[in-house]
Amino acid sequence: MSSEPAVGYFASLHVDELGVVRLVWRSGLRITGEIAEYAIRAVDELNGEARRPMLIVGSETPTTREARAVFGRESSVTRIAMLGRSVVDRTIANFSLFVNPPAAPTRFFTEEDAALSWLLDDGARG
Amino acid sequence: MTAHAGEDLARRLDELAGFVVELAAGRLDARLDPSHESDEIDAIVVGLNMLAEELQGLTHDLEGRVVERTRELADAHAALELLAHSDPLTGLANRTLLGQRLRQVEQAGTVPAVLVLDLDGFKAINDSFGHEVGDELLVAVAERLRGLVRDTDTVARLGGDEFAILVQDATPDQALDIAERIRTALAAPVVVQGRSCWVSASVGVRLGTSGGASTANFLRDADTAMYLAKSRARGGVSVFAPAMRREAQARTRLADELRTALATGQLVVLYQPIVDLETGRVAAVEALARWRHPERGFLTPDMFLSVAEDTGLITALDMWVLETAAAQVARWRADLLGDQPFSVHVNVSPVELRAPGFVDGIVARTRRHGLRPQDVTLEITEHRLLGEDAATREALEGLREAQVGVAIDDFGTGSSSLGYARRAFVDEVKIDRSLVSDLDTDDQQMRVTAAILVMAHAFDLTPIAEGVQTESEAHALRTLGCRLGQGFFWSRPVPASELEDQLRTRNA
Repeated sequence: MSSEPAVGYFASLHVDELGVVRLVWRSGLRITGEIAEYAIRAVDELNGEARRPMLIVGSETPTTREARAVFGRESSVTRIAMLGRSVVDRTIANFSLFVNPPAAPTRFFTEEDAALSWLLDDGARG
Repeated sequence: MTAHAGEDLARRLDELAGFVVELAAGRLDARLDPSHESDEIDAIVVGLNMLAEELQGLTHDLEGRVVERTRELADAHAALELLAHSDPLTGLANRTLLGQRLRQVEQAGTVPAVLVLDLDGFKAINDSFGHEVGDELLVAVAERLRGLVRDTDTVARLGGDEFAILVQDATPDQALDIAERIRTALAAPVVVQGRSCWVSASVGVRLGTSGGASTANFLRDADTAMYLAKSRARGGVSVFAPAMRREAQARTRLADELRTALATGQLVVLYQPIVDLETGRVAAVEALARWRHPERGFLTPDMFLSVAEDTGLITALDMWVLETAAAQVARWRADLLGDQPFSVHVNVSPVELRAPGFVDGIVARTRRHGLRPQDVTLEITEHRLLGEDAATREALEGLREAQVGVAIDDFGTGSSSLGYARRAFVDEVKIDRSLVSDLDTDDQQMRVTAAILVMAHAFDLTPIAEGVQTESEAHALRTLGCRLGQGFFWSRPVPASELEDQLRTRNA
């Protein structure tokens, strides 16, 4: 499975051997609308014609209102699992899930296995 | 928990409490940085930060929408206001706005002047070139008028081809100067869709008086003055005087009376013979309407014709004359004339020519009385046969096809009908009395009449000399090659019974 080097705002962005896009935000980042646009474009470029599920690591990274609006648009991503552990992660994820819900089905997980299992469930691949 | 950790927690809770107080005070731009603990307090901080941002964003959106909606409402209000107060075609003020401005001027106590103008010749342009050209012409005229006045004055379109200008504060000289400038501004042709349209305007002026006098009747008064200007000559200016109002009222009364007269048989037809200058035979008669007015006595058409035309009664009047005369000529044919060439001349207004079904109506009325279409000749006054509009041309062609004769009345006093004459739409021309009088004694008059007769013959038209008063004039006309004449020398217009004697003698 192809893998892209991490660029710009990401600690890592690649497609793993399971066909899941893995996006790891650089720590200490505050995701603005502009960064969100950049991320969506990078993911779409990475996917090309394909549509894939995505695992986002680093959920404690806060998002602005504009960024959440960008993630609310259609993209090449079929499902999004947000992986975090702390109560801060959950707070940020809840905002993403309920205040500005993304276009693709999105859930918050504290365990990577559970996240991958949900992502790779039937219908997750495009 | 260590003492240090306890102090740290207390400090963070203090900061959080301060942050909440700030937010509660409405400072939605306040933010608190979370620690690196990622604990419950940080969750509250991050949550509050995001909530504050969301709230701030929503408030901003809401304010934006309120501003937008307010602007849209203001725009809609302005558009409605404009619609209610402006003429959609030209963008000028309409009658409502003009009325409002007049009242404002009245309250301000200044001396206003109102000018009402009506375009001469607009109908002909509309009829000839179509409404699109007519509309563009109105827009162009509106532009010129707007350029003549100050921003404080109001130019309005009252409807059709009628405009008004309210001058806020004007001396009589200034108001008349504007009237003059209107005439000058309209003197140059308006080019619409590559066509040069020549229009002029008849202008009525109502001058104000000082001291905030009532302006309620200004528009009506200016209108009255405008109608007077229009009745005199194209492109004239007339200043309102109270006597005009009385005259206008008199015209309204006369129109009512004429309506009654038509219905109650107060109108009669008199006949004036048209005589063959060679043989003395009566070749035709002209049927002329007279009004036996119950109070004012015997009225000639010059006293009621313009009222009839303004009110549209002219059609009913002319058709009544045609029917009456056709019935009379049919009786003469049966009793006296047999098959000999004889026709009846009836006057019609050029306005009637343009009415749909005009030709069919004439033919049907003629046949109803047993006459043939060629027994009837319609006389149309030269100076009123204006414009080369399609409807007039069509009617003239239709009359030609139906073999109804057409004569131009008062020939030699205008110029516009030469075009029709040249293209064989006309059979006869009636040479105006002003060219016939003193023909026998005035050499110049003789030369002019000779030239007109040459021209008539060149167009293959039969000339009829009008207003022949003496044997000597009749002789001179005969010498010049004029075959037919009409005038007091032979007979005044007389009732049918009186004409019968002449027919018996002359046409025996």
